[in-house]
Amino acid sequence: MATGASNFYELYRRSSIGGALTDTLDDLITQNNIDPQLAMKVLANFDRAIAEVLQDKVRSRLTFKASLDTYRFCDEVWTFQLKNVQFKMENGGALVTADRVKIVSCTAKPTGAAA
Amino acid sequence: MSNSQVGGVYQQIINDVIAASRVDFEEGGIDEAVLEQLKKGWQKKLSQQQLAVFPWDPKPDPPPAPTATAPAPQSIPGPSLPLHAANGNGYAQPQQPASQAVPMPMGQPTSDARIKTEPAVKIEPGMEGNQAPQPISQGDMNNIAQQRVIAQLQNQYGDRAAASINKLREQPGGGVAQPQNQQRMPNPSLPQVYPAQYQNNPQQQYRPNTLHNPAAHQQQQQRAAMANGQRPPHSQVDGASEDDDHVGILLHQARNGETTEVGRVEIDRMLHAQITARAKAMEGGGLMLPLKRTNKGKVVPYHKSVSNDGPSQFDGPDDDLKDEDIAGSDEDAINSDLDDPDDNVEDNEDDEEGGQIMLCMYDKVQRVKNKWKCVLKDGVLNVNGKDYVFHKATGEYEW
Repeated sequence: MATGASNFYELYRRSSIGGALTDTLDDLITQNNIDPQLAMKVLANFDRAIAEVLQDKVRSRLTFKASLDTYRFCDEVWTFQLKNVQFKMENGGALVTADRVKIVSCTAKPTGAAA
Repeated sequence: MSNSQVGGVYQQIINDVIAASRVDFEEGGIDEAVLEQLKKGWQKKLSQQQLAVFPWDPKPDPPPAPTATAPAPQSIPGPSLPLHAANGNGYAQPQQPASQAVPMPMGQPTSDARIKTEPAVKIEPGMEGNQAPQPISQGDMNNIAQQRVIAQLQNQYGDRAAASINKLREQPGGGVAQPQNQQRMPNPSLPQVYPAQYQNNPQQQYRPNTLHNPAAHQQQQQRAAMANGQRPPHSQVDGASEDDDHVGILLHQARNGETTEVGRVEIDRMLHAQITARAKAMEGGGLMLPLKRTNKGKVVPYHKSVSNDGPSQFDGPDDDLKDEDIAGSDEDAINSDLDDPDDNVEDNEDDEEGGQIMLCMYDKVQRVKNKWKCVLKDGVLNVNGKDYVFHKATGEYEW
């Protein structure tokens, strides 16, 4: 299944862990420790690793309610801008609220990630 | 709770990525140390964001090392002790009394030798007889000066000053006592008096003039006196110190009476600003330049260095002008602002969420009229500075 990391979304690069990786890679490139091609490979590895780990290791569930500000569906990517969001974590019961949250969501169906 | 999972999940992601990238690094001929660097940097960046508790973070904070206890016995004996304070340890003892003692111009000389009070500064010419005068030789001066500067450095900057202190010690005679000091020494108008007990006093008031280079010295003296609004004969706060050759640190008195100590660098900067301002004033003389420019050129640089700390006692006469002129100078900086709004507009789209974002896959997105229902999975969520991960999420929202 690991034919190539290109089967995986680059979506998660925008997350905090992806951003931290990108920043670190940038630093290394600036210091001439690695070249950009290698950094791209590392990011591709990240795309696969985070998809697999989220799929296999994470078991927690989440429900949330909100009012929808804007929605967009383009190239099979849903984007929602939510207002007054209430998240409820299931096994902790913790309630988290936020004024504004943006959701970027890719379709789960045709990915190679499921394999 | 899914936040507690984040540490483990991220740890696993990092390990997976590093393991997978090891091959790529080898193929690229990159040393494995760089890979380790990547991992460390990555983890560090995540820790800095305090998104969750990470397994690689050290659990408790190490207790602060008790540095203050060691040098304390040294500082207690007071000025009779030679004042090259223990290297690297903060010599914080005199700081507190100093700030209290100085603001009162005519404060009685206290008997507590540790206090920074400098009687010589405050004594009116007629009162000198009360003190036991003891002229100090040039060599002593330099030595004392050096010690004072060292003590002061230590006071103000603690450990960070270690390097400069060492440098100071290496210079025989003290790098701080500059020629002007000697120049000023034999000033006949006011005999230099030093009560014996204060010879080793670490901090003294320090006139800015003494730092200036000899060439412009005379002029500078006059100008500074004018600029500071001091008429040496009857200025009580710092008149006498005008003629003192103390080498120490300038005490900077704000309008609210708070005194702060000003380091050498800052003094230099203040001097420089004053001189440039004065030079400009002389140059234009208010005659050759258009009215607008004379005002601006004269006063703006003059106050620049001081403006951070609020008004100081040394620029009394110009206080009224100051605020307006500074405001004027800010307006002048409009050129740099012109670019900013554009940037902000572009940033706004991302900033609106304030980094609050959920990245995930969707299984189902349904809508009935204005009611939406989504089934999402495999998501990471960043809310209120914390990260969450979920396997499955259902969301309901109304449009």
